[in-house]
Amino acid sequence: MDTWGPDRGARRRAAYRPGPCRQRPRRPRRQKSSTPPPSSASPTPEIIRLERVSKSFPSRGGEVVALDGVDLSIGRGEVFGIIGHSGAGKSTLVRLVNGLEEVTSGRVVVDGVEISALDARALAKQREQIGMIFQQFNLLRSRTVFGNVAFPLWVAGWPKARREERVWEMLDFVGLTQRAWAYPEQLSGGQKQRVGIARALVGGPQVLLADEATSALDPETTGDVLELLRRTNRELGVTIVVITHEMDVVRAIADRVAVLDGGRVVEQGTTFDVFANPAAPTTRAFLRTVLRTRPAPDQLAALRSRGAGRLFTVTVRAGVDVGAVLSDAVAEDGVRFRLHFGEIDILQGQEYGAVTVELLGDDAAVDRVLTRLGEHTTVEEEAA
Amino acid sequence: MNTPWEVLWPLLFESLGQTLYMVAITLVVSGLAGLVVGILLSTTRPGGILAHRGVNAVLNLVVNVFRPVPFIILVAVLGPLTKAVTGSIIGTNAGIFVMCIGAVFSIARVVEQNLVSVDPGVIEAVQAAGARPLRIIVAVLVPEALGPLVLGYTYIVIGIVDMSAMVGAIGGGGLGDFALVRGYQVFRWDVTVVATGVIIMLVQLLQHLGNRLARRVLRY
Repeated sequence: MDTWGPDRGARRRAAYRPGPCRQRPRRPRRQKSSTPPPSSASPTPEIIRLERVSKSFPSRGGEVVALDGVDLSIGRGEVFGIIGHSGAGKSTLVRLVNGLEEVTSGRVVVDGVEISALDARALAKQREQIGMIFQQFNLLRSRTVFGNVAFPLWVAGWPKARREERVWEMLDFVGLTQRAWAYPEQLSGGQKQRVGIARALVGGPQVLLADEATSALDPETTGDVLELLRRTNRELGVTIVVITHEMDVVRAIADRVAVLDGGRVVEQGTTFDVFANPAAPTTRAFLRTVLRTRPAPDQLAALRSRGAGRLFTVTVRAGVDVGAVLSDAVAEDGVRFRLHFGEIDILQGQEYGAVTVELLGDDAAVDRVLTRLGEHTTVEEEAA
Repeated sequence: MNTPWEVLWPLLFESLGQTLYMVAITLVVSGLAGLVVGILLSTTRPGGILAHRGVNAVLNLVVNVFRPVPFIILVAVLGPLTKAVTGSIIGTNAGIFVMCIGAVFSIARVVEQNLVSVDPGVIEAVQAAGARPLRIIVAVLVPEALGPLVLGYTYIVIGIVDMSAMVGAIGGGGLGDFALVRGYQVFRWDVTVVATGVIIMLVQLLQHLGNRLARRVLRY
């Protein structure tokens, strides 16, 4: 129990000077460039590495394999998304990083320390370097906002004065100084998650694990919390691992993403590459939840019943001027076009997406237009 | 037959004092012991923070052996042990000893149930913050379950009052003893009724206090 009254709190607030954690030298600010980092390697030295990690749980009929030979490398200062359906193994995966679950085989290394080889005491100490936030927030009902945020410092044995100063610093960072003496049940969902974030960051960790951190929040609050996570990454240089089943969350925040399915990484790369050129069926399925790049069969049928021309879906890529090709088609081949469907988005500074067009004209002319488009990008005819 | 109330009133108050004394000592001793056993019962369960199949099985066995034994039988069965510990098989201290044994296992179950109901996500969160099992028990499990624990203990206190009345059977004194010896056995129904009334009022008071305390803890 803390013995703080509101008056002392007010005095503390007045004395508070904003700044990052003073216990550790400040890491350099992360450079956010307008072009995406190369997809071949991590943009920065790695902080988390998983090597051939497998995890299985005993069950009635033998054992259930949650993770099956996962290799991952997450760079320092990165926001790394891990997306998968429920049951894909993503929650298990993130719990291996802070040792809440033990690997069945393989190695988990965080900041040079092999998590999978630590004893209980050393593991508890190491967890002070790895913050975690949860879908259901998991705040202590018996403690105030202040008490919740102070908890990890109390566990780590910080002296009282430094602890209190640091807690006010974190409450200021997440914008909750006014609610310091409220209990969790008096807070909104978004405020609870801010408390969760403050609690996870208070010890000045290198890594923040976010396990479906926005899945219990409404869209607007989700945006606020994601913005706070972005600030955490930019201003404090904390590496963030975001576990989610929502492609929107990945799009909003992740530099790179791994797609998990059936306990395996089926695809990984920069968020742009995965969104623009999804290879695995699972990834495509996820993208359909957020991108409407291709008409659904019933929409296609509706289009066909109206139009006489042939329907094509043209992939839009950075540096490809689909519009110019279509304009030329009108001018030179006498082919007319109608736009029917599609989505073009900008991610990590680059355009991607697809549009479905109807080309009207004689077959030879239409084929000429197709050839021209095909020189620049992918064109698929929506066969009848 | 005139009831000699001028003699009985002081005896009644003395009996009330004895009951309160026995209940208080039993509550403190078996309350603490039951808390420890209950914590071990819940934390050594599979998946608990101190998961241990063997310890859990042994504790469950012990609790299950003692709990179904009717208290009045327990008094008789524990006779030799009671004599070894308190030096006598009758009297207030002997009564307190048997009550402590009788209460500790019920308390352990009440504690176990309430601790098991603490959100596992909260436990996971404090583990992720680097907390070790002892710290989790003291600073998280017990405080998070405090409201229901207070209600559980209130329920137990009333059981202890009930036990203390039965301790009259081995000369332990108290209100139960008073009702039996000064009322029932000498055909003074009015004395039995008055003693019973005092017990009921005591129980009402304890339940009221327990409810108030629980409300405070739960911040209703």
